[in-house]
Amino acid sequence: MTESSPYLFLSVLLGVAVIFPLIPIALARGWSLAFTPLKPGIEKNATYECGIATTGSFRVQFKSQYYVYGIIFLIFDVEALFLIPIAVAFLDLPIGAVVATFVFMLLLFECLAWAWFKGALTWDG
Amino acid sequence: MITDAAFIAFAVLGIVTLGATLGAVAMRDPVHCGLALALAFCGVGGFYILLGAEFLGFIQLLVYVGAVAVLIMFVILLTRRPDSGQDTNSRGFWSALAGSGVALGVFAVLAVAISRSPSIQTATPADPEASIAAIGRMLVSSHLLPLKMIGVLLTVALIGGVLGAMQEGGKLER
Repeated sequence: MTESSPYLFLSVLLGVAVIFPLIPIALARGWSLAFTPLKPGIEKNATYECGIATTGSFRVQFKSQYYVYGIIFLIFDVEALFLIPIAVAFLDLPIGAVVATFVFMLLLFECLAWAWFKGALTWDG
Repeated sequence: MITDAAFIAFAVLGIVTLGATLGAVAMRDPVHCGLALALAFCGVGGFYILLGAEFLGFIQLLVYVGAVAVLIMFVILLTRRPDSGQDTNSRGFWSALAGSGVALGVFAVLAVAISRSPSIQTATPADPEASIAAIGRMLVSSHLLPLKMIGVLLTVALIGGVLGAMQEGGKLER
């Protein structure tokens, strides 16, 4: 009990974070059930578009450019998690280890520079 | 060593993880399935932290919840056709039965293999002090070559991934 006390605190915070947004949602749903009963109809369910009848599909296909950003983010995310333990132990590392770390970071910068010059980071349209 | 608080945490994590995993295969909307899978990743990360592997647990949250789940959501949102109406999981009875059978078979093989392995019959050793600083020192001393290999591997993965998502000529595919 005593050794897991920081996580006890975190779990209490997590419970509050889950319950806190559920209370107003439940209140709103209870209010709407009690005072404004749902009577859906064709007019009510229509997509609101300033009184004009909706044309075409209301769904949007996401651009695949998001996916390139996602891949780049995933790569740098994984590299960051290897840098975190090195950064924690950085102050008592020998000079050779520091050089090795910089070589690793050079690979990281190389990725960034390649993606930048390749135009993967520029958003068109 | 199992305290009451740890047992309660284990029970809550187990219920959340199992429920989320069940939702990931059983929900109709693929978007909901992806979100349930992210919740299941969170639960597995909680198990790591509960078992004392805190660095691994936070890596699980950082990489799987933060990046892999986001990529899964991207794939779901990017690949479904806007007007096809085929957004739902097709859930036939026989395919569900076959999937359950395969899952049970894999579980049985793993359970037998784990229960017969000699490492769980010996007493568990005292927790090795795997602090983050110790991991960092090992990464740049005795595990330097694997670190460099990971760097090269990630570089290749980035180049391959970006090239796969781009058309030739540097124009991004719509």
